[in-house]
Amino acid sequence: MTECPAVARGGAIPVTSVDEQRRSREAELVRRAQAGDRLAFEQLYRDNIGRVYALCFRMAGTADLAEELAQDVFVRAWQKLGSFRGESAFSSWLHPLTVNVALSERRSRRRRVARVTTTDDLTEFERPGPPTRSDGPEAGFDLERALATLPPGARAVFVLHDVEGYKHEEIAERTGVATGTSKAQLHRARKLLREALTR
Amino acid sequence: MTCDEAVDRIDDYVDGALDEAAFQEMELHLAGCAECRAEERSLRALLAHAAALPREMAPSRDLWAGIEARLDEARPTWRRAGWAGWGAGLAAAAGVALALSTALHGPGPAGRPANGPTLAPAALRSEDPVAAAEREYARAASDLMSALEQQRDRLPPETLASVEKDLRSIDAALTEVRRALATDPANPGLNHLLTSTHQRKVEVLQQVLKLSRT
Repeated sequence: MTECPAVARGGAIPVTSVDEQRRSREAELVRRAQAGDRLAFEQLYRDNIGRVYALCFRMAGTADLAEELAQDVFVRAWQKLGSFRGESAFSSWLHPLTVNVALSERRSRRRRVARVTTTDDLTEFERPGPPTRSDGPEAGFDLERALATLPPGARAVFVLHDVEGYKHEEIAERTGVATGTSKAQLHRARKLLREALTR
Repeated sequence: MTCDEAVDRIDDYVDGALDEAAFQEMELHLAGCAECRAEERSLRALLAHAAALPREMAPSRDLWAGIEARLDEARPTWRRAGWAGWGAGLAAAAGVALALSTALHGPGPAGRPANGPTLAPAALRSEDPVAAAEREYARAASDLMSALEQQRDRLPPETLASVEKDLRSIDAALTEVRRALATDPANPGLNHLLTSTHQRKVEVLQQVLKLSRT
């Protein structure tokens, strides 16, 4: 194997080496956490909470519920940690788990009528916590905030399809709806968001 | 194509999900309709915005304390089962290990029961037996590790340290065997080594059970 020129010249450590170090550190944390080491699991939490919370927040629409979901994700991860075999990054293993937790909550929330989020109550989203984004190409337009106002089903499909890159077939499988329903929800979400964009 | 039809298809158009004929029809319509072109532009802007959303966000507070407080309850089955449940889990895992070993390599060496329990033989036949064995061993070991974690306060620290050291060695060996198998997947010796190493892991956990009963 040819040596990396940067290394041969005594230059910076190549990116792959940094990646390997990160993976190696993560593998060690996972191994320790699987053996019951909570400090190691806490570090895994700290390394991954940003990604998990972002997905939970977008799926849930409120900071309070997102925090609840993110906690559920890590508790579930602790329960299932034994099934993680290190064939992918820990974050990759955690991602579908997060989606499942968020979708399960949405299903149970649908059953608990009293807890259904109203779609026009913007005061719900005024509290501190949810990030704002005003540096995008459309100044003043806050996609995060607009997302939170979507009906839960449309929001979930938009987040999974347009933010996370899932296909309609995958969304249908995970949410238990027909592919056509997923497409219809996406169409609805995009329409509502574009209306917000041009408001 | 009418504007209503174009709007109906605009999602599939920007997602690249139209067939060639429908795509050409849509292109033709957009070329002559400023209103639908504006729709398309606004949709593409939205998608670009969605794709640019930050991958990470920080919650407004540290959630770890709430998570940690729930970890003790995260394995309610084991917690309720106590020692009896653990014993049953270990016995089941040992049976799983034995059955898998038999399924993969035929009758075991002298002293091993010839008619041990069998595990999902149909499943084993229908897929790569080594992959199936790996999965089942991982499941059994995971259950056993969970049980061990629940009971660790009841075991002497030196016993725990010894067990954990053994398990670390075995896990390192498993990693090595898997690495070797990645370059030589059909090697029967390596495949056997993989399952026998898994077996060793289960046996180490069995020893902990025996110690707990003395």
